[in-house]
Amino acid sequence: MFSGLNLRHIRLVGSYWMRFSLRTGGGLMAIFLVLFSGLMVAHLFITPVEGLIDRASMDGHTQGEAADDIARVAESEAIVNAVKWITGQDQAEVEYLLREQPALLSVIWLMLLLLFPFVTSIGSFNQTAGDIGNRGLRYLLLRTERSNIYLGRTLGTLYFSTASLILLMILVLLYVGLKLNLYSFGALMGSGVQGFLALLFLSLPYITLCGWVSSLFDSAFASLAICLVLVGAPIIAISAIDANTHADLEWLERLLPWGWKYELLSGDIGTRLTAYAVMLGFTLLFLLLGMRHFNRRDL
Amino acid sequence: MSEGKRPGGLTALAVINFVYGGFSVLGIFGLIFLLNAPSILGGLRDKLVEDGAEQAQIEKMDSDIAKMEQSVEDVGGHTGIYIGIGASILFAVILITSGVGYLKQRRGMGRKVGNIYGVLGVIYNLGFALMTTFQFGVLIGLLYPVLTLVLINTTFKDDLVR
Repeated sequence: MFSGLNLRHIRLVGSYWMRFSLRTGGGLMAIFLVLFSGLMVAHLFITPVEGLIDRASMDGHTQGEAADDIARVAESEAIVNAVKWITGQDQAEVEYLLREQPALLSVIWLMLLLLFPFVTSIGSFNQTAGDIGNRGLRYLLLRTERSNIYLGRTLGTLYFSTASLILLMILVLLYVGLKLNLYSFGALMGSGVQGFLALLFLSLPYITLCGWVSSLFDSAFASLAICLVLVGAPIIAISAIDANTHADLEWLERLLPWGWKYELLSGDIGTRLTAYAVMLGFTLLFLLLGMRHFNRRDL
Repeated sequence: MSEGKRPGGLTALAVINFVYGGFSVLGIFGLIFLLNAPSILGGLRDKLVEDGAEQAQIEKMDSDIAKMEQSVEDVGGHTGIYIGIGASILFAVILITSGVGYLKQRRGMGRKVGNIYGVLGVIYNLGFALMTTFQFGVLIGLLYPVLTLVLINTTFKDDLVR
């Protein structure tokens, strides 16, 4: 499976694939969806805060007083309980996110963690399926090994997802930092790096899962449909069983990358590193399965 | 690449244009409704008075009319709504025209009209932000015009030449 691996070829295929992604419908939809959905999630939380700041200034309060009021609301027991209910995390983790980290950014990252598996799938479903269907990969096979093509496409998709994510983070952090002026530069950067790493590590297994699915089909549409079903169906099924039986299905969620997502933002460094390692484990598993199938299939 | 097969991204861009164009058309209907809502509610209120409705019902209706009138004022009054309707019609036409242009890979109908949309979209959103307050929603409004300007002048530049 690893014979003929060539790093230079992998990097070359990856960089061409990243540039080519924008020309394909999937790539364009991916960047549009990452930015649009990310900004919409941020909009949900930032706009009410802006309203509070505007109202406070109309009432003659200073920006500092408004910031204190917002912090008091964000750190209140009601908000802590709401976040605890949504994420299912314990009190200490939620208090870390809302009281030790910039609360506004923490809730944005939490919501994006719920959204990103789906958005990532839309950006990753066509790593090989379209070219298998139109027999385009046969031309590449004259120049390099299958493994290099597969890993190069995965790397290109990762480049593309990372670039979109960085753009989204820059927009949100610049806006919160320059316009709202609620948090110190250090707090913003700390939370930004943590949020970026969490979203990046969460994207990895879904990129390779969709890469595997993409190698199974010779139709991009079939690959997209199966990717979305594979990402969404287990989550919906577990939630439905949980709601109807009230059984503790946390162990079942732990068999999916989805079950580890909130640990990626944990205040405990050991828990966070474990979650990173689990995501890398899932990534490696799906990558190897996809590569194995791609190396054996008819192209 | 220029005269070749249409890239999937250009088709996707055209589809997004049609979706945005559709939202602009819906926006026109929404603004027309907003323009007429206070008088429609006023008519309903008069009907309630004629029918001898309870005072509480009439007061509730008065409060709804006041809220609706405030909504009209929030978007710049009747003048603001007329400008909004004009802009929505303009954007709907430009978006749908350039969408067809992308599908046909036309230089004028696709690239030029797409550029006009991009520039007008940026001006409209920034102008709105300057006239009211710069809020986060402006970034979302700027997203597609900026993306259009970047893509049709770089990635798809050589595809829109027919």
